[in-house]
Amino acid sequence: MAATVLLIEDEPHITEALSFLLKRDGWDVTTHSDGADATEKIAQLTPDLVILDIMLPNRNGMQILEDIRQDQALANTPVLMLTAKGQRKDSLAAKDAGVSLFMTKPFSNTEIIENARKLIG
Amino acid sequence: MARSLLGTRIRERRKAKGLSQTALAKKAGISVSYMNLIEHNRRGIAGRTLLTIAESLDVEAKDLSQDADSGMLLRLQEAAASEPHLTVEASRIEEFVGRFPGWARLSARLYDHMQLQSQSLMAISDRLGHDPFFSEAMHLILSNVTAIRSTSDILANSEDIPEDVAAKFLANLQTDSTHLSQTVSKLLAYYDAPDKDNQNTSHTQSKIDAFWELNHYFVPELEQESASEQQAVDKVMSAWNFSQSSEEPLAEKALKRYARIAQQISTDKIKSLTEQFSYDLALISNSLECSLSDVFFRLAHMPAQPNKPEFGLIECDGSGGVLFRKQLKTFSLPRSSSACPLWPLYRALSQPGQPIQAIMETPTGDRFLTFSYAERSSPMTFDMPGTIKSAMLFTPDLHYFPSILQKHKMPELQVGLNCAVCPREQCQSRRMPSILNS
Repeated sequence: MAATVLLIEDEPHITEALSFLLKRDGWDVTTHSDGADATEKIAQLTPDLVILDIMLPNRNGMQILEDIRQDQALANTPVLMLTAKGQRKDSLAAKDAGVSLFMTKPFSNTEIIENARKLIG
Repeated sequence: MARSLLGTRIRERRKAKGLSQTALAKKAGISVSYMNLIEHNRRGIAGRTLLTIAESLDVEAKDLSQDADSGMLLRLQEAAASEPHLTVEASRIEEFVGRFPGWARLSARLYDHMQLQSQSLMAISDRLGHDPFFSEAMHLILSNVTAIRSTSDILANSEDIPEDVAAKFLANLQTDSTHLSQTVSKLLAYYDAPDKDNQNTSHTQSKIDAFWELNHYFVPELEQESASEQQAVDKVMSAWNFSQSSEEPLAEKALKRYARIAQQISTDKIKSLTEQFSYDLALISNSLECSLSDVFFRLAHMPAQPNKPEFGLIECDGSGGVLFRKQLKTFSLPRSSSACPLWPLYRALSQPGQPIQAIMETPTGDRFLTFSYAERSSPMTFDMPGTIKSAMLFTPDLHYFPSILQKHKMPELQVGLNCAVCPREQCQSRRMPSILNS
């Protein structure tokens, strides 16, 4: 059975490219673009992996990450966080909040697929 | 009195003309040993002897006797302090200024430029870090670049990509690259446009400073009785290209203040009152029913007058940040930051509404009579204490104030200009080491 991934990203062209890559790599991909109900979506789907952008409308990725880690049912979900900022303080904040892996944009297609596979073991 | 480099100049000119000390002494009608003392600045000369020596050296007497520019000395000392890893011959700075005045002026000017550039860079860097437009633009650029990179990589490296998917990705590439170029163009246009958001960089201050210096702090166009103060101000703004630039609001505020004070206290009126009250500025202020700081401002903005004291003025806000400066050749002022905390300018901040008279003596022995006064600079409310500002008027010409000096026993303060170039090692207020003692 294919591993499931929930891709939470509000830039449509990035979503399309990443979806194509992940599907081609054998993933079952669901996408979501609004931060407001992203946590509920994660709880509903319980994916094997969450790929989460930091800059989202209505609720940012850091807040969603904290929600996940505080929910016992979701606390161990691997989370790969993406950001366009790439500042040291963001990666440190994400580590403190319990991110599994942090990547900055622009990213390499090969690298993101390798990291996604790594996170689900 | 500022240190004189008269002897140094005489020696340099003598050597340039190939004259021996003996020959020059003979022409001047003085002994060789006395000439030696003069050339080493241990004796002063004036009058006939100075004229004879100047004539022998083919120069004007005034070119020999101009006092050392203490402001330039300070700037050179600050330049040395800014490079602590370099060894400079600090004790020979006056010799350097005297022997090589052109090089000294160039060094001081280069240091000034470096300071201005450094302050501008810090202001720009701070602005970039906090500019929401820049932050948003960078986010958009990075998002576009990410999509372009990922999509183009897919198209370049996928042999089995369906045609409709490839067409979609090509369309995405076109859209993203268009958006990218539009965002970059907007960003460039934003930073090419005149700065209209009142960011206060050292460049904006330097243009206003330059205006005051070029006009010698006196603006005749604003002194004339005019039906419309605003029209007079607009005319000056336009003539000096302050309009349509980031300096416009600050310049307009400064010129309006000048016009208001000039209309209220004409040059004739202040001349008459200073004579009437023997420069008792509190009495002058009471007589005019105006703020003491307005009297300070008026006195610092007068046309050059013979046999009258020369005044400098510095104004600062409650944090010590400089709001206005008119320095004198013998007393240099900081451009934006605070100076020696012992100055009455800063001490007045703790007693707004209480005028202070004091004599300041600098490490070089120069003495200045100072008048300081702090007052509210914003309306008071019950919510929060208002802001305050302080002003200090100062003059080296103490001999014009005999009655003030006799009438008031005023404190004599041993001050510096700033810690980096102050030799007063034991000062309780020292906040950084001095290069002069290293």
